[in-house]
Amino acid sequence: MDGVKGKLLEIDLSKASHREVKLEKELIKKYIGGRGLGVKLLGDLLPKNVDPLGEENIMLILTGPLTGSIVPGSGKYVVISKSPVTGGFLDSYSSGRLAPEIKFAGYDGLIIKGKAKRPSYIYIEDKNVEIKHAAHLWGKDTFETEEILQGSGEEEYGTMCIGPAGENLVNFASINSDFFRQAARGGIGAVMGSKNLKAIKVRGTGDISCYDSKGMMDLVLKHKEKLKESAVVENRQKFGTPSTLDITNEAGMLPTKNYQSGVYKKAWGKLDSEGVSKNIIKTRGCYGCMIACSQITKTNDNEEEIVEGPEYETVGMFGPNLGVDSLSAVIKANIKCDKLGMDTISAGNVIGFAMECYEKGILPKKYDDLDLEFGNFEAALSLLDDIALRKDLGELMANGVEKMSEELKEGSEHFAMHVKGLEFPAYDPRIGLGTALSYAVSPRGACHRRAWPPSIEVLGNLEPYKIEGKAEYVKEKVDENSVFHSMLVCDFPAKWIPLSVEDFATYLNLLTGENFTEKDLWETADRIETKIRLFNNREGLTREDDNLPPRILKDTLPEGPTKGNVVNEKDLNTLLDKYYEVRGWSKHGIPTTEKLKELNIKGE
Amino acid sequence: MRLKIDADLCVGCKACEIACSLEHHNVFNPKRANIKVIFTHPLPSAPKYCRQCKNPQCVESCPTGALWRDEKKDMVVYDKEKCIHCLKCIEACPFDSIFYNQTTEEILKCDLCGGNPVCVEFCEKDAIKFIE
Repeated sequence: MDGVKGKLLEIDLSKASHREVKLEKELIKKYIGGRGLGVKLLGDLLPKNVDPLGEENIMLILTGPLTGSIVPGSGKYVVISKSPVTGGFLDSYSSGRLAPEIKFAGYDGLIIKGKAKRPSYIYIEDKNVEIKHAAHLWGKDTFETEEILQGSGEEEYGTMCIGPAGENLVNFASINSDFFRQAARGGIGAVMGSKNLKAIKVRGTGDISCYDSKGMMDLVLKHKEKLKESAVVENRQKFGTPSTLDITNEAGMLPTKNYQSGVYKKAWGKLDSEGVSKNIIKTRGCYGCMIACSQITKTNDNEEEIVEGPEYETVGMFGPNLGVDSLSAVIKANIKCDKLGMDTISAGNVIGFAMECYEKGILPKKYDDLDLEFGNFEAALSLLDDIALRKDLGELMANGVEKMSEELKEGSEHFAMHVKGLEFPAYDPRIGLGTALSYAVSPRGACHRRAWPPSIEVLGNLEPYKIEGKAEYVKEKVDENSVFHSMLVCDFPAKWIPLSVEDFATYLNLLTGENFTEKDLWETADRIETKIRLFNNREGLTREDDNLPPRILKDTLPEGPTKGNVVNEKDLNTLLDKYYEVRGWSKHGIPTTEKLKELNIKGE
Repeated sequence: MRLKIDADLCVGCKACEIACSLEHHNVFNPKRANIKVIFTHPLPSAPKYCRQCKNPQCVESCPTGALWRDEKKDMVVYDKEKCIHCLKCIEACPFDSIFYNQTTEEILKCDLCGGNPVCVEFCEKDAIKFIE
């Protein structure tokens, strides 16, 4: 099959050994790559009930067939593991040169097993694989680490590394690539830290073959013309993702002061597209991406304080969610999180939670001298260091909002904003029932990346609080992303240009010479999502876990266009019933035998 | 004719490199491209590309005549049959824009794709222009 290498590299850190593992063509046809291949391999290779931060857990660093090609958005990798946050399936995506380099080195992905005896990093150059000492890197932040790994800059390497947060097993530690790109959600950096693995550095010199080069070039050029007609592309090329704030603030779903409100008036002109655009100094594009939505900004106080971003989520979580209206403050938090190796979403969320605990007098007495009032940005910045180093209150916060609220009690569970332990991103799901459902059923916990129902509930024409059509819509969008994230491409070009699943079937065929149909891909996505459900079921997750925090189910939003909005528990249950039904799962959220037969995964 | 790149417009996506390798070798492999965007932190660097110089130092340095200036085509031409891989041209180029791939043992020199450079076609930012 053209375009794929048909090989995985397995590295056992406990045994300090490595070997090549054949990747059968049939497996690629059945699961494609990325997310799909990941759940299949994770289920097969991982024993039941292992400790996510124990030696037995594995990390799969996977590409997809389209990785490294010229298809828009094909510069991404995914890290798949058992989640330290949910105990279930975790997939965390990042852009970065690591993705194509893995394939140039001759592999479709890496399987990382075991735990190194001491801090180590892995160096791969084609067939040469070494596990090296990383004592000189341990304790260093991600920027320092990457600078050392990149060396003189004469040769380019793909890298991924963790910062102090990952070393200290912070529940929301990230893995960083190319300084500013992160596989951040779900604590994947903590899994890497638990293996004493500081970094991976890869250089490949080989080719990725293409079945039909001419056809491939023609189709990419056709889509390059098409994107010129897209207003969304134009907007993203100019402002990046922060323009999303214009929509969420207007609609009343912008998390404000730990989701106490959905509107933040002070954000206008400061944290919206207009505000952020004043600080943009350069645009960057991921590998092979014709959109290039990434904006590099600087703070107002220091020319040297530069970050790729902040993306919308970071602006939302460190801005309105903390009662902060200073873009420079958000950028500083972004840089700090990147250097320490932490997810900006969960970090902003857990600080918002701590601030509300402070407001309500729930924090233990020994922290009385902390001034954690909403809006105190200096305090937030210093908490980031404490979290990464597990110092003082940071020790409690490093475990995430779920565990922190379990520890604090005093009713704090009511406003601990998470699903399955994973902190909410920057959309209040009280905007509509589809959005609420998508958070509840997302396999890795509260996640905006599986389906994004605001596109119909806010920007489209499906009534936000009507149940009808929502389960079907969420399934369709989850499946669509499942296709993109298995190929593996960024779903942004797909959605913004826009390109269809059929377009990607064509790309896949031009690359591989196979005959994938659009129908095949939808079926594959259905199979993948059911496999993920089976994995989560196996690890003890049930319908009970497809839930939303009490604040979303009990508290009405206080102002703006969403004033009075609250998700009725009965509605959520009806939506779950409906979602399971359209998926072919039982009322308990367990895939039925008939469904397994239909998807050809029974007994697999 | 030659390429001209506006580094301020370059976003470092490497679409030019990828397209170049596909056009010349039918594979995806930026390390075999005749144009290079080097990633620097924190901003992408200026791309390296052949200027098709009027007084080319690569031609002057070449001991076998594998490189010469074709005045009719208004470009510097490379003939791999005559090349002995002495790499003198790489040292001589003031723009560091002739490359050597050690794995494939190829000298990588821009040939303007025979008059229709794919890097220009694939650059969404119009950072690469094809000019007189």
